[in-house]
Amino acid sequence: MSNFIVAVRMKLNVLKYIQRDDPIGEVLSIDGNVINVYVYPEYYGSISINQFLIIVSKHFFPITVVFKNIHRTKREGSFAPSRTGYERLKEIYPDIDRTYVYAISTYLVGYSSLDGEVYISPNISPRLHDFTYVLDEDDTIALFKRNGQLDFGLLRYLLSFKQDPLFFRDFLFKNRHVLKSLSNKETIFKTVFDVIRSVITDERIMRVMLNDLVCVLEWE
Amino acid sequence: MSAIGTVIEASYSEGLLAILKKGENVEDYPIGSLVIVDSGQNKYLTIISDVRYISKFPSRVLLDLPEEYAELAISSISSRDVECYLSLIPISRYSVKSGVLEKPDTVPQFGSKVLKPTVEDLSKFYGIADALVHYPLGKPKVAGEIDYSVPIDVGKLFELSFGLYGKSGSGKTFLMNLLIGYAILYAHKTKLKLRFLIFDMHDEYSVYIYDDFRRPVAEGIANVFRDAFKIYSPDSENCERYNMEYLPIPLYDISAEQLLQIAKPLELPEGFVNNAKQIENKVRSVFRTSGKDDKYWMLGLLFSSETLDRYRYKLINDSEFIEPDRFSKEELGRLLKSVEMEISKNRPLDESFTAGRRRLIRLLDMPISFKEEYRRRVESIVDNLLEEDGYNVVVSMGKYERNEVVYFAIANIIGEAMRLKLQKKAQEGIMELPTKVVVVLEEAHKFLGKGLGEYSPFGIIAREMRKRGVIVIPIDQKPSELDPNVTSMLWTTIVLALTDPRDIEAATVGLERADLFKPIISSLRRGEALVYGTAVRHPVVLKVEDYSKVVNWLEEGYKSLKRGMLKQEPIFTISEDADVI
Repeated sequence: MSNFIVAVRMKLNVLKYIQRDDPIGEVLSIDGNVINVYVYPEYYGSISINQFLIIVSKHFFPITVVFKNIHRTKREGSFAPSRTGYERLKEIYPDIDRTYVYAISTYLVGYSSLDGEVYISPNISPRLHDFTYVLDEDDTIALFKRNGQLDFGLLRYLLSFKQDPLFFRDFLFKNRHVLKSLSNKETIFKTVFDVIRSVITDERIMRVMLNDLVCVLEWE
Repeated sequence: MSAIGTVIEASYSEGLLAILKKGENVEDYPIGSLVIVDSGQNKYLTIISDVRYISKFPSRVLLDLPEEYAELAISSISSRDVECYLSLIPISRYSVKSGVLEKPDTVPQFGSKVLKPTVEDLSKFYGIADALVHYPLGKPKVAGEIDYSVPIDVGKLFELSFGLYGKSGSGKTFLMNLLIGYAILYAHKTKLKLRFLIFDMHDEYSVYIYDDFRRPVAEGIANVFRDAFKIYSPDSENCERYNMEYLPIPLYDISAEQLLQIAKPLELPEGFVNNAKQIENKVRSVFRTSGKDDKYWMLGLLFSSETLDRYRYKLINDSEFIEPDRFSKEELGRLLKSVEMEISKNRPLDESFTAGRRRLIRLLDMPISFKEEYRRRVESIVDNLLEEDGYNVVVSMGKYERNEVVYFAIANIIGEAMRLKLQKKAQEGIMELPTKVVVVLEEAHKFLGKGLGEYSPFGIIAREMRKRGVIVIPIDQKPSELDPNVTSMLWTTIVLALTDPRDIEAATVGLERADLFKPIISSLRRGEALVYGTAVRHPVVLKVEDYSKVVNWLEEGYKSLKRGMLKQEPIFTISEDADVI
């Protein structure tokens, strides 16, 4: 992948998500900007923290970031250890997945309109049962650029919600290829630095975050 | 012109606080610089007295970052998280509506704009140089460059006394040469009979001004206006080289009182000081009894029977020391024995006499003379200064520049002669003098120091003779050592770089809100000065005009005046190309 993408795709091709038939799950519940998604059993384990998701709703396409995995039995406290492992249990009980809950918690950071224009602003809500898809990596670039300029507004929302240095480090690591493709490392550093100091007040956290940022930028 | 900042706090007694606009570099606004505060209603002329910034960003977090990233972070912080403040002292106010210029009696309103001054602004506040009465003193300190020179009213400067202070190497002599040059031109144009008496320790008024490496930079003003000056020197080699008149310390017919006055640097023993008059009387009596002129009585103090041999060459070979054949060695030897015998009759007197002699013998290695002509020369110097058709006078120390005794003695002898002359004129009912005499006194604290000012001839002249047209200009590195009675009479003060807080304190006596100006003085660079008083409209920090660049213009101007040209009009015109204006 080239270090710079000269012609930046500002708009999302949201139609492809409408036409796709491989949603990873559907909206389970909404609590403010936190959107919990029920993950279909076949996709569980393939969704990672800090992954971008897109939800196909009626007129808009909310974009979220995964921050928590949940996997438990439907009835709390009803877990009995098997001493056989999942694969053997599946053979014995083919419908075992029906007794489990596979869910992820995600944070709403923005949305796309029908014409693919991206808005970094969590002021739109999906509906329960709306299908949820993994956002293609190529499409995540549109989240970080606006009118040709770097725009890390979504990071500001994310950091305001979760001021966790490890979460931040993970986010950088997971999205490092996308970040490095946006501009040179000096510009990336300055832009992310401005976001960090506008949100983080704890000196210790800020220090760790800045060091991790440098680390990731220096990685090949 | 766009604002560089905004006033956010103000107090009449403590000054103004302005916040700099983002993007302005705090390093462009050194303290002492002038800025304009525009409230819409009025324009205030202000001086920056303090500069500071604060950053709310916890910069410690950058400690672990690699340097290139830390620099990126710092550049981001400096553009957003850093607030720069200027503390300002308002010194004048111009009403936009009425056009009146006055001292501010209130403060500008919140949100008033801070602007860099334009030439038009500065001309309104300080006026413009016209080379008639107002001469360009120097470029004011502002952010950036400005093609404007603050004018000094030379008439007011020399009408009432002023002081010039600054530590060694700060540029005092350059500046004084410049001011004297302006004064001479001014005097010619206004027909004022101005006479300078300059005690020139380092030959920088009479020969050349030198740089730190003793390379000549420019001619001294007396050299530039050579026909307007008579130059004297106790250094006979200097006299020959530079066509000066010889002036040794005249001891012919000196009184004990005068001796004590001029020999202060010798630190004569207290016993001798107390008995000096008695000793004089005794020695004179011996000379008269021996049939010798008692006006040479000091010989009896300088020589002793033991030292006569060592110094006999002075009697025989030094034609400037004494008239040839006035005293042979044998005659003087006999006189000395008589003196010693007479004095020894009184034991305490003898002890103080001997103790005094031990110190006074040092004078024999200095330029001294018993020739009456040099006593008369001192008197003629004074007469010349007070005559309508006289000359300016410089006394140039030459190789005695570091000899405190010679400098002090010659200056005091001339000072005392002047004092007596003026006193005599007053007794004769002549209160108004035909000339205005300006005494330029370097190392002024030696003559006008605390306690000394009351009794020294220059102290008396400074206090009592001002109204009669004689002023003393103290030039000193240590203004804190000057007599407050003298400094309180100064109407203008020019302060170059000083560092001792006591000197800064003394140099700002009479300056309103002096506490706000003191940090500015300690930051002055060589050639920069804080000027305040009657000769400038408002206090100002400026870079003094470079005398070495102006001296040619002074010379041409003087020549033109002497040729009778341009009597009524300024010598030069304000031009963008001119070095001076």
